[in-house]
Amino acid sequence: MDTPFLGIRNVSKSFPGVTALEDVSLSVERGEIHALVGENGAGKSTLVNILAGLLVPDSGGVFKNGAPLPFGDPMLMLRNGIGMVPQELTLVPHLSVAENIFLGSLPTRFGTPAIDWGRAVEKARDILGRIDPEIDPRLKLGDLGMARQQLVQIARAMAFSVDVLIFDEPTSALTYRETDRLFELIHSFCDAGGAVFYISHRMEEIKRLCLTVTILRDGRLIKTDCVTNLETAQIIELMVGRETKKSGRPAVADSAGAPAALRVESLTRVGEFEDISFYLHKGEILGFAGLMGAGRTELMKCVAGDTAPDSGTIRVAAAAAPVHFGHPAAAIAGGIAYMPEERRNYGIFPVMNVAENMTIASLRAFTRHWSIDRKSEAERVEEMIGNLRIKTPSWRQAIRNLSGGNQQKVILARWLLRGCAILILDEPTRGIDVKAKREIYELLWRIRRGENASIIIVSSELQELMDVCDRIVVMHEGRLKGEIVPREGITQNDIMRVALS
Amino acid sequence: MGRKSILARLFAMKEAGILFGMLGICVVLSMTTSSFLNRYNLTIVVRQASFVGIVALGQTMVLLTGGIDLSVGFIAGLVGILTTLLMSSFSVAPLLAVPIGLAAGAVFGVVNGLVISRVKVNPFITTLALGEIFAGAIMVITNGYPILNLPSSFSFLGQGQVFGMPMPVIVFLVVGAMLAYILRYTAFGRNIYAIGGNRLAARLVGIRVERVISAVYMLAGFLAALAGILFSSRISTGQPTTGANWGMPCITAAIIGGTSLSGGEGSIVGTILGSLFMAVLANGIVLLDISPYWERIIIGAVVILAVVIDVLRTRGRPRS
Repeated sequence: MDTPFLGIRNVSKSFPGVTALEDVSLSVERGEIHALVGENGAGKSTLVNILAGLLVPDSGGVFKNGAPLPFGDPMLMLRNGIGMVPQELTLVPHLSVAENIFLGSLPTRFGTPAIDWGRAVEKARDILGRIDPEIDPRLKLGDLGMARQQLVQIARAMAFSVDVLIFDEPTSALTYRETDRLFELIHSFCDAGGAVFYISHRMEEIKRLCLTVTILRDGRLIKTDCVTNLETAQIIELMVGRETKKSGRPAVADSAGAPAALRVESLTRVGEFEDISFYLHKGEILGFAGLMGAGRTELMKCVAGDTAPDSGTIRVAAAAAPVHFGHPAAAIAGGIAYMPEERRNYGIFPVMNVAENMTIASLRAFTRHWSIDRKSEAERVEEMIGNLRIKTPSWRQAIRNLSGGNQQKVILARWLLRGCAILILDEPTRGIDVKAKREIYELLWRIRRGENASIIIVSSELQELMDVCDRIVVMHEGRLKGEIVPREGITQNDIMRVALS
Repeated sequence: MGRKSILARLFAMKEAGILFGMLGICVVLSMTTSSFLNRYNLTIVVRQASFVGIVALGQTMVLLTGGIDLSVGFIAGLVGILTTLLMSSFSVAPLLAVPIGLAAGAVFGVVNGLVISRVKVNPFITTLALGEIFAGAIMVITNGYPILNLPSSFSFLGQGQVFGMPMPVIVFLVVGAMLAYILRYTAFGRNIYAIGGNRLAARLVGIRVERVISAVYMLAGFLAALAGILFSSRISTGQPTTGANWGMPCITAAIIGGTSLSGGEGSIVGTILGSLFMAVLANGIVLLDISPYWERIIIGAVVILAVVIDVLRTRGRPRS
């Protein structure tokens, strides 16, 4: 057998209580883009963290051109040509782009510890030229957008002239255009003889980009094959370990005649969005599509009372008078709940338990004679845990110990308990695995049917909006551009056409 | 969660370390000295714990929101001076002077709270600066001289006993019980934990964060005032130095008791135990005839030990 370019041999790793990886072996060759897929907790991150020198496996080895690599030192792995672009950026926002690129190996002057800034900036510019010439290496990293910061992370890897690059869900914060740009970059990297590991939950991307795919489940390697040999449904099936129902999507509801749940007219916040008017009908699921930076999140924060509009009106239900919230509390009292993107930063209270997280918005309903009726609180929470099939040992569990999908369900339960008539979900399934996504969609359909609630979903995943929504509106650069009814055959291009029209 | 034995559950509690640590020291002191385990000495210890303890209770509430109040000691001192001054120079009856003093403490606290929550100045800087102002006000008012000639009825608060319990101890425990109840059983208490746990999320779930924070600093000011008045009554003097060195010990008591400096975690029970622990330690140093200069070194070591134990206890717990 030929020596593979990069070989992972019989790698196992366990953490207290869990086996994260069990006897995993795989290899990549130069020019190969290798997808790693699996549900959350399948072991993808553990595997790439071993490759990036962040974790030391219990047994097994990694070989490059037949030579074993040392573990547990990210700098050493970089010098050995293996670089990672992690899911959450690990750069220093207060430092310049050039400093971030060369962090740990800034060029020095004549062997003294003095940094040669001129050369650092020049070298950085040289590397960035191949990626995005518009990035000035002297800028502060924190002043760049998310996508550009990610490109800097790639530049950092390239500065070490790596020939193996690992991407951990790189596109979750990128726009479609930026994603295209990233894919071009990855292709040219591979054409130059590099190999890529690519982790993603997005099947379309994997189909489009990758040559081979490895499916992990519960720390075990289930299958490695050519991407073209496997149908998307097959991949998902192998990931989940059982057959998944294809859709189960209820028919698109035509609610044009239904009464309005929310009417927004000419809403404007200068610099964020302009002249936005839309209706949300009772019992409707309305999607907001658009590129990153289209102003969707800003719009939703305004509708939910987190920010105040400069002009325009918001009306709830059939009320003739517009509302002026001024604080999320007022919006909630008016029946509008907002579930922000970035669950960890804005959604959960990590050290509080499941019950406390769930009831935090409706404590008044549980308060009798100045104190919380903890018994009825626990009962309602138990009921919700059962109803929404939230996987947790008990309501006493700290929410940070739950998986992303289950955390999201707890937050959904929070607003169901509060009884809000309008739910606004911003990127509700980002970073959540396929099975949990499905469950959340099913919950949303159930809520629409049963609770008579109306739902707005902001998502960067077109497929998600197509799967879940009754109607999709498209935003671009702060303006509302048009509307699409999801049906078979609608593609990314249609959305782009509306966005750019 | 299965039924665990009471002992196992005790060990799992955040307050377990401090509880067993204190019991351990009590056992050692009981065996090595003849003067520790008797009613007279224990009364002194607990009363000693009460003054800083009451301040520490308010501090705990502030710490739970993710803030800190460096001015509480000076609020205690200033209110002690104002209250005694009202009685000695303006012949105001204690029954009126004390509520006025408490209200003044609450107002000082609200000033802290408003600057922090509305103007959004960092709590450390705000309370450091206002603390300096309060400290300065004490000196301006008194010129450094103690205030004497207080009505004898005023001394009941600090010196009196009910059912053999010193008044400061009763106040300490009653306030502690009330705060523990508020934190556990009211929406206000939950909101405090929520703000400390994730301030941005707290706003989005509809908590009026600014109001809660103002209220918590008000409470801290009120309780500091209460401690300052009790102490003035105890020594029957408006002493300019009262409270000047309470600021750090009240934070220490909360931390030893398991309250997190980053907010969202901690309990009143822990702070009560932390206050008692520090008083027992101080008492032990006297009884064992160790130089009192060692007290702060030992307390510093205990804080580090408490933090290390906490890190070890939570290690292996999955992180978020």
